Amino acid sequence: VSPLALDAAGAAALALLELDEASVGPLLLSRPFVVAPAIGAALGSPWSGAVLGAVFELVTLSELPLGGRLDLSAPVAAGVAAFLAAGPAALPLAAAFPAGLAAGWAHARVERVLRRRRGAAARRAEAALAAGRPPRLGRELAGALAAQAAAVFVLALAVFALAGPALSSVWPRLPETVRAGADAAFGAAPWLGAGGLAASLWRTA
Amino acid sequence: VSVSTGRAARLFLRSLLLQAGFGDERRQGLGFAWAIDPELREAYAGDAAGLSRARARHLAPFNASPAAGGLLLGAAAHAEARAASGDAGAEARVRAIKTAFAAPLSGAADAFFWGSLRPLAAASALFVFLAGRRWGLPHPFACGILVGLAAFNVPALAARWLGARRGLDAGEAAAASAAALPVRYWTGVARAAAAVTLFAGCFLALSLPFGVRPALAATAFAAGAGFARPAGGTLALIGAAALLGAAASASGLAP
Repeated sequence: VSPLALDAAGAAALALLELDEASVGPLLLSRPFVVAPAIGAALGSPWSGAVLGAVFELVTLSELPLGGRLDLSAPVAAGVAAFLAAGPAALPLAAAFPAGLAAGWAHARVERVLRRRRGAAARRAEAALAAGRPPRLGRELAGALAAQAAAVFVLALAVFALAGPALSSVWPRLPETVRAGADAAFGAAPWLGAGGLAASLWRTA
Repeated sequence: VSVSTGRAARLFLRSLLLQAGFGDERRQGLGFAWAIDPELREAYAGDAAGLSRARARHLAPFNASPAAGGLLLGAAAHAEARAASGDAGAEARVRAIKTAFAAPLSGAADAFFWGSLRPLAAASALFVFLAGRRWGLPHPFACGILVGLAAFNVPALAARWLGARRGLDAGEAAAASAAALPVRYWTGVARAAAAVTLFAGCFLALSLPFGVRPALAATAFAAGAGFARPAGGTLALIGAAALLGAAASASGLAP
């Protein structure tokens, strides 16, 4: 399998799983504890995926997706990090973690734009009703799903094909101080997340 | 008269796409209109004007917890069938179901499914991953994922299915009886179970050869518990940890 084909397959899988986040279901198929181990296992490195899945799960779990809140796309962050660590780029986990965070942050901004534009679909349906025609609700929903999946696919493919190799080449040349900072962040992240989650469970109990 | 399983199944399956057209302007309005459309076509068969008005009603902004979607769709479909058969007050009841009933039901469902079962599902999955590593259990990832998905989806899908069925059957009475369920008690139990599983997973992680220093892990845990909220979230603390790590490295305090 060529690297680009592998990148495209990974991006397509992530795009399909991400639909579960806020479009289909949700059945939790898009949560980091599913996405990252699945991608890691598919690429022959299940523990890399599981560790990243655990870290992203703990970091994002106390954020509730209520009222359309969207700060960071957890599935995109976890999926991108798992692919960068277990895939052709073979990034260290401490490097894949911030790359995943950046991809998740970027996707959240893309999705905000998609959500702003979806009002037009309902207005088209209302215009059809006003003109005496049946609204094409199924087609509008299919279009929304396709746009959502396409956005994830394009973003993930760009990261896998461009940012992955670039990071793989740059990471070993970064100053030791920067890599030590990334190591500290990655090492502390699951414990900070677990503490935040424990406090959240305690507060709301 | 009990509704057919086929009708309930259709509404249940369509409720899974309630959020497919989620947008800032109408929220789940488009998904709700699509999910209820077959019910409207049956209720208003032969009444094109009535069908058009009903379809327009359901394109209005709507937002609810996905787990409560089956019940709200079923109850709204029930009221629409009454409206189509000439019940003068049924249209107002449709609006009441989508507003007055939806808000408290969604609040309870969000607290239970998002605030309690989702952490329980994730903590259970992570615990099984770690237990598999610690005791050499077979297929720890597949088992962990399945346990986590089951912890959330068995109750969530049951709520959607029973909600769709009872909503179609009894309309707003079903929504009223759902509001009387002891969801607060279930929420407390699920939160306690999530907390216990989380702590058990943390202790298990410390017993594994991950190179984790217990004192640092405990410090980070305490920092997360105490400062994640005031700092604006866990990510801010992770940024601070990165700065501390870089500073320690630059000053020679850490290797």
